[in-house]
Amino acid sequence: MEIKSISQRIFRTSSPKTEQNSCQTNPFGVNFKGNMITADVFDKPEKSTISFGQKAQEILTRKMTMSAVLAPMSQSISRRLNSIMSFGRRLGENTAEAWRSANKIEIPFHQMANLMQNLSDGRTYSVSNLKNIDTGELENMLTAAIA
Amino acid sequence: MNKNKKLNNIIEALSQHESGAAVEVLERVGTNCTDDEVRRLTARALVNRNTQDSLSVVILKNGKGINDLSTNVAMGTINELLALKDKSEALKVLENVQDSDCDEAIKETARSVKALMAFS
Repeated sequence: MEIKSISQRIFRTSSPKTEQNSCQTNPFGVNFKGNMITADVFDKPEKSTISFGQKAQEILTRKMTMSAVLAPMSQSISRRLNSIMSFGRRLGENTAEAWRSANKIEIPFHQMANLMQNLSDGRTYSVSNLKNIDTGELENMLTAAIA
Repeated sequence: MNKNKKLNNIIEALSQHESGAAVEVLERVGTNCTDDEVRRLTARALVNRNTQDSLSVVILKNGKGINDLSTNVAMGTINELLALKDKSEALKVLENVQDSDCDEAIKETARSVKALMAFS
């Protein structure tokens, strides 16, 4: 027995393994769960090799995927539409309520008459308007205003 | 529109009126009014008109304008005269007072106002 083997036995040291790197020539080699995936895995099978059943299966899978994607989208769109419609409905109700409230407001006749009188006086007794009136009429107006 | 605003606008319109008859209206109605405020407004309007006729009313006439019995009206008129940008017409009227045969009190007041205008 050699000295080297004796020391290995005593210290339970593993013998150095010679690692074989199978993908040394493949730069795209990927390690997946301990198995080395080589570029061959990604190769598409030849079209001619796909049978009719496989094609139908593929179409079915695609349809199911698309429906799975579209269903939540349609739901979110319908939810948004509903919120917009409810907002419009509320707006309409508020407008109608405001209109009803406006119709209930009553302005007393004497207040309206005073308002109209003030507006009329504002125009009649403006300096620019009075300047164009005859002095005789202005004298009457002044006398009336003083009295 | 309230009464004071109406009065103010009518008197202001008469002050700016093109017709010379406006001065007569102001003299006849405004300066003879018992209300001090109306007389003060009228005197101011006559001064702002700045013509020989209108200034003669507030300077020469007894009991009107600067000769008003109310100190408030008299002092208000003097202030308006001093505030005039073009004082040439007012100075002419004040000089004419000295040559006229009006009351000595009016001449005295006119002399004082003329002196104030010279300083202003």
